[in-house]
Amino acid sequence: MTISEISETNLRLAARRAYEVGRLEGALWRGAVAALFALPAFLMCGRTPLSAFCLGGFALVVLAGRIRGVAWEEGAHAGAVAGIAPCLLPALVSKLDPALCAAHVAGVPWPCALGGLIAGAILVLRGRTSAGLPFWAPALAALGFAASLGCIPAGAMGFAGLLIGVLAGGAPALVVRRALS
Amino acid sequence: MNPAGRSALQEELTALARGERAAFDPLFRRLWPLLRGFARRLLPADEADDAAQEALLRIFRRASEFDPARDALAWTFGIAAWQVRTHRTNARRRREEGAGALPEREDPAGSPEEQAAAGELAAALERALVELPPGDAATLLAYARGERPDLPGATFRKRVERALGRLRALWRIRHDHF
Repeated sequence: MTISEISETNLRLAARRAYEVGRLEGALWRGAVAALFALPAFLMCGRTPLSAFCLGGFALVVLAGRIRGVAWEEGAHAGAVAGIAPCLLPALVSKLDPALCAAHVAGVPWPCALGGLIAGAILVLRGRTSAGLPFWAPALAALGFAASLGCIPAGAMGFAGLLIGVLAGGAPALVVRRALS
Repeated sequence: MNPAGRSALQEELTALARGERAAFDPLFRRLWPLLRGFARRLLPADEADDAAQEALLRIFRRASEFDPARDALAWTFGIAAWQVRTHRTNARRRREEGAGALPEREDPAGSPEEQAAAGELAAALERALVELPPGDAATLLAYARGERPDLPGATFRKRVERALGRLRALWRIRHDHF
């Protein structure tokens, strides 16, 4: 191996390191932005350890997806975008009208169901069926963490509403997508 | 760069921006000679490789930010041109700081003319001292060295004044032109 080959090998390693560092920087930035988006839900709808876990998990899924890249990144991104509605809608409702919030917690969790409806539609429309697990695992994880943040105060009923909403929103979107493709 | 190479660069950089690590090696092989050639056209040979390396590392560090809608070649050369300019500015600053950090040192011996004049003066003084009475010469040498003979202070001062007076007189006679 000549000196120029050695120096080129070192340069290649340094370039690879620079690429990974740049990717990590971008991932940290995205994770921070994701946490910032979900923070109102954490602050308004119960600052419990479970909420903190969901907030951290959401940021971590977005961060890891960005580092890994390709389908993992696309999945985390789609899940995060879809999760914004069920994450923030219940918090927004409780802020605008506490009486509605009380009804949401005590009775029918309609903000969770509505958020789930929007999330399901977004996720299906942005989804890539060909990408398989690398896409859907981070997508569902990001959506799950974000939506849980908003629906934790509503308890089991909130999660049930969320699930029904996601299915109700996703099914017609899936039909539309298949019809168009 | 030919259109095929340009298209390949676009594809590889787009893939790397998406996180496809498999695109790293072909992109490295394509970019390194390109950047080295670019830097060598703009900088002296000894600085060009450094600047090209810096540009290469910066491009890979920012590869994830690359927007596939943009032209990869223009994006790459934009970063490289910026890096070359930064390298040039830093090199100039280093040279200026280097020049500032080493101010012109005064030669304690002075200029050659000054050294010659000082030598002549020392020789003239030596000749004058030789021509003085030995007691006066000894007094002046002791005074010049800061030594104090075993004499009362006032007596020594008077002897120094007297010896200096004689030296001045002798000097005027010998060196009217001074």
